[in-house]
Amino acid sequence: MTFWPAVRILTAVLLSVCASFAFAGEDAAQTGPKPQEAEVKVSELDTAELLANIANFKTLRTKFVQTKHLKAFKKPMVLNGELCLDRPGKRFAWHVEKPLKYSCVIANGKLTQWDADSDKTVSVPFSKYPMLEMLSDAMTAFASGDVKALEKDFEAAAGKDGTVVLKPRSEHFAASLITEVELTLDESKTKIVKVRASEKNGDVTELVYTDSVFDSDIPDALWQAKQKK
Amino acid sequence: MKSLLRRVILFGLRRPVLAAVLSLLALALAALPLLTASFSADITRMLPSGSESERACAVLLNSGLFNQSAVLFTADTEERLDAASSEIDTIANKITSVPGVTRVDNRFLPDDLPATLASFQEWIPQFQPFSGLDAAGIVSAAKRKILLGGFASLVLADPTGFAASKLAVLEQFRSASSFHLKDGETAIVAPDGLHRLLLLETDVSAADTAGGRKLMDDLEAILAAHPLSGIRAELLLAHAHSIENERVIKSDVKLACILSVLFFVPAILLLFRRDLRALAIPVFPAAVSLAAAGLLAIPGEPVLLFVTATGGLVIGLAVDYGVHVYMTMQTPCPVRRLVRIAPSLLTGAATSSAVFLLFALTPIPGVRQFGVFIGISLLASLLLTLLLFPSILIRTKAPLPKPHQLKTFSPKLACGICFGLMALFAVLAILRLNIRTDLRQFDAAQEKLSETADAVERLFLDGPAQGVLAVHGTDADTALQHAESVCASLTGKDPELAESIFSPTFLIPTKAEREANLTSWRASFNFDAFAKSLRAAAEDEGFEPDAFDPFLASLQRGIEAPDLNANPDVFAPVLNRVLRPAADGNGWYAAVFLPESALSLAEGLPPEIETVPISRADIPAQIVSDMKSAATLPVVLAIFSVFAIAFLFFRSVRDSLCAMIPVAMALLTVCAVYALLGKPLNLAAEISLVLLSGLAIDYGVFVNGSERSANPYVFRAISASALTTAAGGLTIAFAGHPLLHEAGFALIPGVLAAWGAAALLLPSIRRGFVKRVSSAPLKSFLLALIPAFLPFTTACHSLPYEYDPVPPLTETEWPLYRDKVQPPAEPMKPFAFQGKVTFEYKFFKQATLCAVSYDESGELRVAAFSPSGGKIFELSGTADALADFWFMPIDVLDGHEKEAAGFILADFFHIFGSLAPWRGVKTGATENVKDDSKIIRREPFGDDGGELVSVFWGSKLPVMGKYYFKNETIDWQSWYFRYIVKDAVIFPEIIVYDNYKHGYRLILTVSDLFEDSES
Repeated sequence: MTFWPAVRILTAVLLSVCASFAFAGEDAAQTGPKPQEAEVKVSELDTAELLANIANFKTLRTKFVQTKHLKAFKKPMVLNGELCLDRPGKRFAWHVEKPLKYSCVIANGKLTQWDADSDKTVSVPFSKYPMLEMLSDAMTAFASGDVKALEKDFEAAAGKDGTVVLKPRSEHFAASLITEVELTLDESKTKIVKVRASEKNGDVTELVYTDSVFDSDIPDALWQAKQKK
Repeated sequence: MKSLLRRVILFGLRRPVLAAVLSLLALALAALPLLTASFSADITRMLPSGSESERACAVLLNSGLFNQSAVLFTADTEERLDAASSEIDTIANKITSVPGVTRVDNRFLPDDLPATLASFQEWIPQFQPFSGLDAAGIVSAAKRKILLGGFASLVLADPTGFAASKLAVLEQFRSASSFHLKDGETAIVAPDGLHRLLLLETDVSAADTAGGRKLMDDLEAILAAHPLSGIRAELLLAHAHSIENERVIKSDVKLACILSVLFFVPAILLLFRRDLRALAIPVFPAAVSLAAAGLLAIPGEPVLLFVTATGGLVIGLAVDYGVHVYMTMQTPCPVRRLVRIAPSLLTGAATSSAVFLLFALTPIPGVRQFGVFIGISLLASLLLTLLLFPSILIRTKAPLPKPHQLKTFSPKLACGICFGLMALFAVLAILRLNIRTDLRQFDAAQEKLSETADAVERLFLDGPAQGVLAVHGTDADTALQHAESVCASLTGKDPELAESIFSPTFLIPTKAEREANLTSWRASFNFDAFAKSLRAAAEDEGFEPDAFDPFLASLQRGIEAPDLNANPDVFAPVLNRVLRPAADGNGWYAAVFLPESALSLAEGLPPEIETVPISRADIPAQIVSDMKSAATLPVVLAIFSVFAIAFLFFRSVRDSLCAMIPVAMALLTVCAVYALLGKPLNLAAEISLVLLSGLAIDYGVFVNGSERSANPYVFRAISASALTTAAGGLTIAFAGHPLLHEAGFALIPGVLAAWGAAALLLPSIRRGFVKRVSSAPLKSFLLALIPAFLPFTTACHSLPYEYDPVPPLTETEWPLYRDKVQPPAEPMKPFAFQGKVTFEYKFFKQATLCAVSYDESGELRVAAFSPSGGKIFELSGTADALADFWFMPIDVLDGHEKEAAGFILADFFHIFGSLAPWRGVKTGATENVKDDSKIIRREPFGDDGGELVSVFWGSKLPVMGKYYFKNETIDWQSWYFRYIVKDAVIFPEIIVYDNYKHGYRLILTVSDLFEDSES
């Protein structure tokens, strides 16, 4: 037991990075970047039609601002970076620029993360942690607003002021952490511009996409975890 | 190879005169370039080529933006400085005529402000587009200003207020550059009124030692010719560093020459029984090193003086070959024996040379030059010794020295255990070894000159540290255009920057803008009509009709005869320092001032705009980071290459490993000596480690070879070699230059250890092998040696940041500072911040984000996030108890969350707790001890008999580090590498915390500090 603190805490930190991605993805699905286009009210829209058309794209490359409001801290924590999504290739890249340079790329059956401070790259294959594949799918679904893919675990409904609200089904483990995830759509009602996640402990995370580009070629360099320091 | 060496030896013996003449000719030819070579003592040549720090230092030296040349006058009283004002003006005028001085700025603003404002009007048509001039409005506004108390002379000189608005930009410069002056002063006087500066601009590069020395002499002559009563004048020249470094190295070269004679001559006479012919031994490497220095000059690069100063070292190393030749020539059948040992000698020399020539692969120009110098010198010394020395020795023989068999200590087991334990002890010592790669420690002038530079900074600069973005352009106008684009990009990314940024484009527009503005004036403005209506309006408002004539004349001049390449004189003191041609003639630089924290925004600028971020705080850290990666390569390459070459020679892993034993012992011993003395291992010591690798492998090869061929003289040979090499080390260990001193200092224990391992341990192991492969001495030694290599694989436990050196406390300073480091009486104040935490455990590193707050009730809250945005944990509690915690659900922590939360909370209280006292400290029982430049505060801590030791660095308060000491071991330590000063609050910015109990490290970087506990 004398050695466990360091080992456990470290393992916890490593795994939590992977696990937190799932929640960040939820956050992404819920909060989202500052909308570029006017938001629309969808409360009167047909939910089924809305869900059928949402996230109808192959690739996404967008800048993001993630703002985390913690109940116990009054100043929010803000992350800026770039997010890339390749749905057919099942690839997901999360590059943080500020306050620290960090990247996490999910591609080719593994999660690879890197940060400029340690300048170390760590890869975790799905074969070793099968849970990661599940998390990867969930992340892709949240980041792209693919509500259909999430319907198994979340109940979707049209919310106020042009939003789609996702509530975790009671049997899903996310229900112990998340109250709801709110998606804000663009004018075409097909693409996400903002995700807001409310957690049970009172924390709220917003993820806002800016400069989103859909269905474009994403440079190979963005699918590498290690970035220029 | 053997045949070639045989021919060389026989040629030297058969035709000694011809061999000597040819050798002399070759050496003279090689040394010839020295006559036209340029020499440099520029310490920045030790920075890796192409690295960020090298780029930053090159810009610092070449851009002219950071010309630190100045004269600082310090008076006893303000009145005395005021009284000397005109004399200082005279000195400034005299300095203007000094060759190399292109400008002297004596005043920030001109004395005659109305004249300045009036002449400024001619720039209106260039600096702003025409948008109409209302003559009646101008006159009416001027009248209003005068009636409200404005100075008529100023108002009439600048009726449009244009000049005043442009001069206000200077205030923005002052604010952005943190430059503070005494209120109401036009001269450059510090806010305390006791110090005045003359800023000098020179066209002499800071790296030009000869030019710098001439400039310094001229300036000192002027100051000496104009003594000021009660006022001290000090020169602050950027050139002083290279001048001082050169002075120290030149004196070191002289010292090394004297010591070489003092050490080598008696040592050789002692070793070789007063045989005067042996005095020729050091002559060969001395001649070769001179020729090798000449070869360094061939590529056209300046020859580094501290490289040539290592000539004594070359002699120390290369006399080995002479010693071996001498000893061999005393044996029966000397030539045959010499031909037989020549391949061994060549292998040894080739190994050492190869190790040094590998330095050519490093990115550090200074190290490359050093490697080539020593590598060539060693190999050429051997060849010259083999060619010329036997012919001197063959004629008469000295009495044959008594053969000395290599010792095989009995029992051999004891020898193995003894060395094994030594190695183990060394390993334990090395665990405490620190590494310091900051190059500034090798600046011989650093300590001497930093005092004045610090004084200027302290007197004239105030506020947060400012960064500079040096923006390059092919000419002044392109640099301005680029600076404009950079400012637009930066303020686009962070609009708040607009208030704290400064660019030369705020003072003057680009040429294209000037032309466009002028065109608009010429196209739309009717000067005659405006002049007529202005005079009429003036008369109507009660002014004299010609009251605005100076303004009109200036404006007319600006429209009709503008100089598009000139700038207002009033801007010159600032503009000439923020828009400068590069000293190397390669384009121009514009300096954009901005907060250091915003320098990172410069990433992502268009690639055609070349910018170099300059941060006073970050450059040292960048140097450390660049040097760390660049300095590791030679050591690693050296160890692998000596093994590879030994293997090529022996074609046996077993023999090669045996030959490596002296190498391992030498490296371990040097590291252990540094650790035990508390000295950090630096670049010079690392160079010595490489040198030792090449040297010790020689001993290993010789002893292994002699064990094979039963050479009875090898003990004497390697002993003589060790003695002369140590003497070579001593010649530079007494040097004044830190780089040379450190290299020599590290060499001596390493040589002794290598000798011990080769002469005493290796024969025992070898003979154990002969008897049976699994010999007891080898086993016992290797058993102890295996952990010895662990530190090299896990890296020494060094701190990732470094402190600037601080001069030792004087006896008068000590009582003052002793009382300052008492535990503060106030309770810890609330704080809150966000930042990064890098978690390190063995090979694992992970960066996370954190938010921390401490409130008045004594509760600390910590939350950590993965950079992916997910929260990892959140906890809160006081120093006594954990109040609340939450961890992301992760199996590995299952059931241990509370324990983990308790550890984390305790760690954060350790880090921040006794920056102000907290309840664990028993105040009143402290003991402060002076330790060189440090003050150590010891105090009982907690209830378990432990002790908290806080370390302060003289005047560099607050605390630099602290550690918790219990039962003779350190449980944890926390070091503070940089402090933020915000709103009169001092708070640590970079913290390295080691928890030795559990073996992990936290590196905490504070990025946002908040005013209260709301984070």
